[in-house]
Amino acid sequence: MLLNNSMKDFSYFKDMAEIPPTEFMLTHPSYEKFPYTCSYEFDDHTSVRNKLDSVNWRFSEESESDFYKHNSLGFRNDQDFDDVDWENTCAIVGCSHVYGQAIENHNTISSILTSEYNIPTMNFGVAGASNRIIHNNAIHAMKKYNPKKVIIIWSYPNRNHWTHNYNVKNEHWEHTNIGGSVILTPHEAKLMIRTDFVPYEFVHMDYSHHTLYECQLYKDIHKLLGTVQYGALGRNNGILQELKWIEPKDMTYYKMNSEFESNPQLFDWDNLKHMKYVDDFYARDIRLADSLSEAPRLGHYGRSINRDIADLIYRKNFK
Amino acid sequence: MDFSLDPYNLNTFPDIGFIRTGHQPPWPHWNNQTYIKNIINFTTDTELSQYKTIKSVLSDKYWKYADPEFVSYEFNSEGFREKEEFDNIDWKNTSVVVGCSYTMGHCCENEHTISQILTREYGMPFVNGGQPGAGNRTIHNNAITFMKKYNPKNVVIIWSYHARYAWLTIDKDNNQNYWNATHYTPQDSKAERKDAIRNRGVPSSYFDSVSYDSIHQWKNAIDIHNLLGNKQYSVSEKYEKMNSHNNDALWIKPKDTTLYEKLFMPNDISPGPTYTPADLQTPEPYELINKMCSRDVKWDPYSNILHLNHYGEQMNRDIADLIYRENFK
Repeated sequence: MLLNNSMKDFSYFKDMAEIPPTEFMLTHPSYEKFPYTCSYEFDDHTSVRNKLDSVNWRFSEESESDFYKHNSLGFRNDQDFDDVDWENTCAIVGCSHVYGQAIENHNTISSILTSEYNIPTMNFGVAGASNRIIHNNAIHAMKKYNPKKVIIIWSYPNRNHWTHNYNVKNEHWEHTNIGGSVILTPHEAKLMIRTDFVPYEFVHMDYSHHTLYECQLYKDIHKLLGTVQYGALGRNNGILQELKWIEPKDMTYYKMNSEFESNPQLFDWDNLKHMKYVDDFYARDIRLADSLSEAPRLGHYGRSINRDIADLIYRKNFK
Repeated sequence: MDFSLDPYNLNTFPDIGFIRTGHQPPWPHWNNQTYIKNIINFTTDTELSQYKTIKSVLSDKYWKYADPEFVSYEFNSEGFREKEEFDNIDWKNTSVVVGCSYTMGHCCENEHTISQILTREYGMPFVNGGQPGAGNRTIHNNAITFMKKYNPKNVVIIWSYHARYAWLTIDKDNNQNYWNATHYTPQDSKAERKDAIRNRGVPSSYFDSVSYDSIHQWKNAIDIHNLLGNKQYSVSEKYEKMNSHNNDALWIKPKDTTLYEKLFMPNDISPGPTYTPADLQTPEPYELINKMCSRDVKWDPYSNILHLNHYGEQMNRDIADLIYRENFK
C-alpha cells in the first residue's frame, strides 16, 4: 500500500502505546435533510404525510427543528458526557433503534428509562451503526466514563465497518460503512475495494463469515464485561421476531401488527382504535404502499415498542 | 455454505473456541476423531531444515541444542504446549500467559518457556497459552476463550507483530461446523496471496505491512483487556533496517543488560555480534548463544553476523521476572 502524507505509517513503531487511541465511531447524519437523519427518513415522512393528509396522525405536521438534539460528541443527549454523574448513570448503546430514529427525544429508550423508571441513562445510539460500531462505542464509553451499567442492543449481524486509515492531519480513524451488495452501485463497490481496501466479500455479499465471527466474539466479550445485551435475531422478518426478545407484557399491538400484515384489508384508517395503534406503535418513518388499501408497515420503533424495551431492561436488570 | 446456518441468526453458528494456528501437531480433533498424544522434536519440516543448517555451523561440543532431541514438544488436545488437559487444571489457582510462538517457546526446551519458569521459579502456576504463528486477532480470541471457558486466576497477554492477522470462515469437518482461522502476513508468497484473496475472501490489505483495520482492532482489543484487568505486553516490531529484535530489551526491561548489549548493540555498525566459523568452534560465543537464543538462531555466512530468532532461556527468564515483579510482587 502506498502511503500519502495524511496516512499514519504504522510499519515502524516501537510498542502498543504508540497506537493512537480509539474514539467513538459515528455515522454522519445528512445535515442537508436536517431535522431528518437521512434522505430516506425525509422521503418516508413526506410521503406518509401526503398520503395521510385527511387522517389525524400525530406526525402529520412538518418536522420541528429540534426533533433531534445532539451533545457536543454527536450523540442524542441534552447533556455533554463530561458533565454526567457516571456513577449513577447508565449507557445504552446501539443502532438507530437506540438512537430513536424517527421518534421524538422524549420517546427514546434512554429518555423513557430516565424519566419513567428513574434510571438515568445516556443515549449512545448511532443511526446506521453496525455491530462493530456498537461494540467499539460500548468499549470506549466504559474506558472513558465507566458508566454504572452498559446496555447494548445489537443491530443486524450482516452490517459491518472497515477501518481504512488513521488520518494524521485530523487525528481521527477513518472507517468505511459496509452496506453489502444490496445498497451499493457497482461503481461504489469498486471504489471501496480499490481506494479503501475493503474486503471483496464485504462489498459483494450480503454477509461475511468474518463479520459473523466478530459478532459472536463481541457477545462473549460483553458477557465477560457484565454488559446487558439484547438484540434482534434474524433477518427483519416482522414483529414476531421482535416479540421474542422484547417480551412485552401487553401483546395487543404486536398481535394487531401481525394480523394487519397478513390481512391488510382488516386495517381501517377511519377506525380510532387502529389510528391509536399507528400513533403508538410506529415512528414517523412508517412504510406505506402506494395505496392506502394496504396496512402500514413498521419502519423504526414507535413509542410503545420503546416503552416495552425500557420495561424489559428495567424488570430484568434493575427491579 | 451450510444451509443449517442462517447468516441472520447467530444462534445457528458454532460457539467461538480456541483458534489454533495449525503449525503444531496433532491436527485438530473434531467430534468423532480420537486425540492421540505424542511427543515431537520438530513442529514443522521448516523447523527441522533450519535446525540442520545452523547445526552444521555451530559447535557440537558447546552448543546446548546439538542434540536434536534436546527440545521436545508435547501438546494437549486443545493444541497448546501443555501436558495437562485444560479440564484437569485447578484454574482457581492457575494463570495463563497467552501469545504467539514466543510464548509457546518455539525452539526452546519446555522447562525454559515463560509459563514453566513462572510456575517453577516463582511458585505461580501458569499455563502456556501460546500458539506459534499467532497474530493479534488469534491472541485476543484465545484470551477471551480462556476467560470464558476456564476463568483463570490471571491472564497475561504478550501481543505479537501487528502485520499478522487472521481471517475467519466457517468450515465443516465430520459433519460439524467450526470457525476456521487462516493466518496471513506480508511474507506470504504471491500464489498464497492470490488464493487467499480470490478463494477465501481475505482482505488484500492483510498482505500489506499496514492494515489499518488490523491495527484499529488490535487497539480495541488492548482496551478490552485493560477493562478485563489483564496484564499486557507486546513483542517488538520487526524493522527492516535493524536487527529485528533490537528493541526487545526496551519491553523486557532486564535487570542485567550485559548479554542484551552484546547481542543487540555490539558496535555502531553491526546489527548483531559477528563470529567467524572458527570463532563458532570456540567456547567464547556460547554463553551468549546458549542463554539468549533458542535453537533457531541464525548466522549469516556472508557477514558472519549472528541473529536472534526466538527467545532463549535467559530472555524467557527475564520476561517471567518482568511479569512477576510488575504484577504479582
